This record gives sequence, structure tokens and C-alpha cells, in this order.
Amino acid sequence: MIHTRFESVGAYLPTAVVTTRDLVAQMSYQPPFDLQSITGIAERRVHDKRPETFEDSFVLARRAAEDCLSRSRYAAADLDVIISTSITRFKDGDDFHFEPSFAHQLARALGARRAIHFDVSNACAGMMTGVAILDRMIKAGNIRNGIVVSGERITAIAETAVKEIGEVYDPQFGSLTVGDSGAAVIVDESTSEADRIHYVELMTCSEYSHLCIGKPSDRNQGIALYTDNHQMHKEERSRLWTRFQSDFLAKRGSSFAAEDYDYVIHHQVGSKFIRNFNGHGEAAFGTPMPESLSVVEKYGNTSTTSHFLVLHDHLRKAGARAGAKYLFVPAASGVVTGCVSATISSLEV
Amino acid sequence: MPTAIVSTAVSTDPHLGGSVAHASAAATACLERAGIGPDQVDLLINVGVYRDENMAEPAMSALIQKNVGTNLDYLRSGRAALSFDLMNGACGVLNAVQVAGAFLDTGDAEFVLVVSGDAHPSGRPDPGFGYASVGAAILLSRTTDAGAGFGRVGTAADDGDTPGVVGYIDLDAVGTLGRERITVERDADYTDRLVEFAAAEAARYAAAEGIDLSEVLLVASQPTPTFAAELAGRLGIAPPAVVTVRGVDADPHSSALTFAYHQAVSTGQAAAYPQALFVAAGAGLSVACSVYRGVR
Repeated sequence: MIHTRFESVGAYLPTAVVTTRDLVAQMSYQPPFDLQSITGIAERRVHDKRPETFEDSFVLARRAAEDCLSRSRYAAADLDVIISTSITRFKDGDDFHFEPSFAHQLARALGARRAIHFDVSNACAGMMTGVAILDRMIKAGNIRNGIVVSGERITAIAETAVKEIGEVYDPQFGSLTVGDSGAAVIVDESTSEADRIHYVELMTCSEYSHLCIGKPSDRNQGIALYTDNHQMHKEERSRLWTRFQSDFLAKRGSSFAAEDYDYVIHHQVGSKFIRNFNGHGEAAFGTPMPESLSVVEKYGNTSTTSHFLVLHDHLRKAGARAGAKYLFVPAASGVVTGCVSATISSLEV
Repeated sequence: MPTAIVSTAVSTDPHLGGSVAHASAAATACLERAGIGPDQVDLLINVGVYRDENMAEPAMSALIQKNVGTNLDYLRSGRAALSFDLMNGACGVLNAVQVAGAFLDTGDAEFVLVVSGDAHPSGRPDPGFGYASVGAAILLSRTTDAGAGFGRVGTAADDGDTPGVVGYIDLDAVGTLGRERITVERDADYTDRLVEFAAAEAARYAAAEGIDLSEVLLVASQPTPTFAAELAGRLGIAPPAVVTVRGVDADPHSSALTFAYHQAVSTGQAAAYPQALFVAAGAGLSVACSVYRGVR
């Protein structure tokens, strides 16, 4: 039986920092609450806006892919598949692209000339969906390796929100939490249990697909995100994750406690969201949660890239530890949830 | 075990005003034709590119999945299903066949529903858009017949300096009309380049797979009205063995291959051929090919 692993992980973060206080100060409507204390987000990175060095989604994705390839055993020309998963598809400035695929254009830019290329869109679960696809294609024996890459110039929705938020329950409040970034990950065959993806299990519960919609604004130039936060973050939604993972592990004859995870990485919506998810997990699984890793305070919610930015940040600061077992929990519009587990012993960043 | 087509369906009702509506209608009809319930779908892949109101989130597949009635809420259904969008123009449906095949092979899915739908973001016809507002669906499963089903999917990307077609929203120019506007630009030499590139790749694929082109039904996408005929001419395939979409004015884009195959089977044109060669081509340039054995 073929197993898979994370072979390399890359990230790119713009250098410009915007604090939550500075962002809120730009709003014409001043919220009656402290956004930073509610979200736990102190600051986020924002793409370079200077014309000569402008960073759009494509540039952010390419830099993350180059970073990932710089530590990989594979050159771009060796890649069998390239999957691009950006939600924000900005290229050439403010052009929002639909075709040709971002993956095709990234393959050309990187030199991945023979790679199968296509884009995947699955909201903030995009990169994890790309990993699920590579995992199955490698296990099926169809390919040997592949890269999933995403660049998100997603602060475009924050720019719209700053102009348009007009009341305390405004559906664009969540747009103030986002930050720009790029991330990439290469998946290939695992030959050692020390570096192995154990499972990539995802599902979409479509009843709630209308709760978070991203599209151009009809009040200002630019894109916007409209979220029914009350419905989206109901406790019932978090039960989708725990019930799904409990059922999945039970079928494998396992349990959350028996999996013995060292770290959990949730989607980086906000520090309270992560705390609530861990609290719910602890109650539902009846066992303490592993150490919860996060970068939300300094990078905000970076959408598709969030889990891999956390992993990259953790490996850079702490280094890889032999046998360390990670649980990734996606949470995305759709709604998409699931559980992804991997042992990572030798990834360097 | 190979991946086989269980059923297909299309949606052309002009009263349906969008890509999600068309994809959902085709998906529902496809499941009904197969006698498969929505709760039996394990994976739903939407390969549509141009979206209602230029929506970027969630995946259009989630909205389609909701209309189909698959895994609305796991707490009630108790049966998981995943959906996502896979975008690569007309080639996307063959990339979805690749992905579906992997999920079927690993036992992670029994039925994979691949749907498509493109529409002008405004929901209204636009002569400059060039793509038809239609939908299609193809239900895939495994077959125990080792000599049937899809063969390897071959893909290729052109090294040229221009992609032939670009589709984008120029947010600087559209102001507050971003939900209604889309720009699609086609190079003057797009058709010629595409025919030449697709023919070369299809010939290479056929040679590598040992396919006799005089015995196949050519199922081609429809980037231009003459593409299929010109491609067949280059490959030496006779006109009666060429299938492309009939009765649709513009390019059915991501629905083209499913649509053409559906029509060929429905009209009986496919019956004389033991195998079909699917060839899609589009922006990039990109080409995808796959043989399908056991046409019925």
C-alpha cells in the first residue's frame, strides 16, 4: 500500500504590517467594541501596493511555491501535478482572473512544464482539498508527487469592509480579520512512518453553503465577503467536525485520545474561535486537546493558507521534532470541515 | 478497476438563469437517469468556470450540492460527502475524471458526480461573452470490466507566449458593476493554434495508447464552431465519427465534452463505435485527451 507525506512546505509573507487599531481607525463607522480583543488579531500582513513591486495573488503564490521548491528534492520540472487553490485570483494588478487557470500560469512561471495543472476552489479549505486530491492520486498510483499552492491578496475584502460597514451586526465585520500571504506544500510518497500523512478526510455540509458569500461589491469598486456570523459560528457547526472525526476514527478502531496527537492546528479565524473549537473538542472527545498552534495574532485569517502558515511558523521557530503528530482541522464556507493528520519528523523550513 | 460513465444529463432550459441552476438541473437529471439517490454521491466536482455574479466563495459545488440534496447536514444525514470546484476550462472535466478515478480506486468513493455550468455573471445573454449558458453532469463509478471505461488521461500545456484566451473582471474599469461584467479576450490566431496543438497532442496520445484513429468516435470540445471538424481533418477521422455539441449557439465550455457525449449516445450516433476519444482544448493553451471504451 502506498502512503504519502508532506515533502516540503513553503510560505511567503508580505513585509508591510497593518495593525488592527490602524485598520479600525480608517473606518467611517466606529464599532462599539474592541475588534482586537474580540478577535485576538493584533496585526496582519498586507501586500506591496507600489506599482513597480506590486504583489497580487499570483505573485504571492509564486513566491511561496519558489520557497517550497527551494527545500524540496524536486525541481519544478519534476512535478507531476500543480494545483492552485487561491480564492482571490488577482493577477496583473486588479484583474480578477478565471482563465486560463492560475495553475497553468504558475506552472509556466515556475518551469513545471509537464505537470498536470488545474485550479481548485473550496473556500478556506482549498489547500487541504488540494492535499486530499494529491494524496488519493499518489495512492492510486497515477502520479508520484505534486504541489498545492495558494496566494491570497485577500485584504481586498477588508478594504471594501472599511468603506461599507455601517452597523454592529454588519455581515462584513469578518472581513476585517484577514491578512495577505502565500503558501505551498509538496506531497509525495512516504517510505517511513516518521514522515507520513495518516488521513485527509473532508466533507461539505451544503445546507449552510449560503452563509458566507464572496463576490464583487455593488456599492464600491472591489470584492467583498458577506458572512452570517451568528449562523456560521453556531455551536452546531463545530459539532460537524467532532461528530465526523469521532465517526471516522471509530471506523478505524481508534479514538481521539488513542491518536495521541502532539499538536492541533485549527483554521485561523480568531483566537476566540480557536479557543471555542478546542473547548468543544475537549467536551466532545472527552479528552484534553493537544497543544494548539496559532499565528492568528500576527497574521490574522489568511484564508486558504492558514494551516500551512501555522505549520511553517512552528517548524521555523521550534524545528521539526522526530515523531511529532499533527492534527489539522479545516473550517470553511460550504461548509467544509474534516480532519487531516500527519507525522512530521524531518521537514525543514 | 477502470472508471466508467454511469449516466449523463444536460441542462439547456433558457429560463434557468445561471450556472448553478443549470449545473443543479443537470445533476439531478443525471442521478435520476442512473437511479441513484443524492445520498449515494460521495464526491461532487464542479468544473464550471464562469460564475453567477462572479462569485469567488464558497465553491459553487457547495451551492449545487445543496440543490441536489447531498449531505445537507452530517448531524442529520450521518453520511459524509465532499464537493469542490475544479477549474481548467473545457479540459476540467477530464481532470475531474483523473481525480474521480483516484477517489474511486482508493475506495474513498463509490459514486462521483462531475457537474458543469457556465453563465455570464449578469445572468443575461451577452454576445461578447462567447460561452453558452448550459449545464451538464456525468456520474462516474468503477466497472468490473477491465476492458471498459476511461483510459489514461493525457494532458499537455503549450509553451507559447500568450494563453489564447483570457477571462477576467477588470475591477478598475467596472466600478460597482463587478457582479455583472466579465471580459473575455480571444487572440486572432487562437483557433489555428488550438487546432494545431490539440491535433498534435491527440495524435501523440493515440500513438502512445495504441489507439486506431480510424475506429474511434471523436468527442471534441467546442471552443469554436469549426474546431471539431478541423481537428478531425488533421487526425484523419471521417466526419460521421466526429461528435461535438449541436443546437447550442456558443461554446458550451466546461460542459462541452459531457454535452457532446450525451448527445452522441442519445441519438444513437455512438452505437457504432467501440471506443470514444475525448479531446478538450482551451486557454493556456491546454489540451486533455482520454480514450473511453465500452460506449453505450
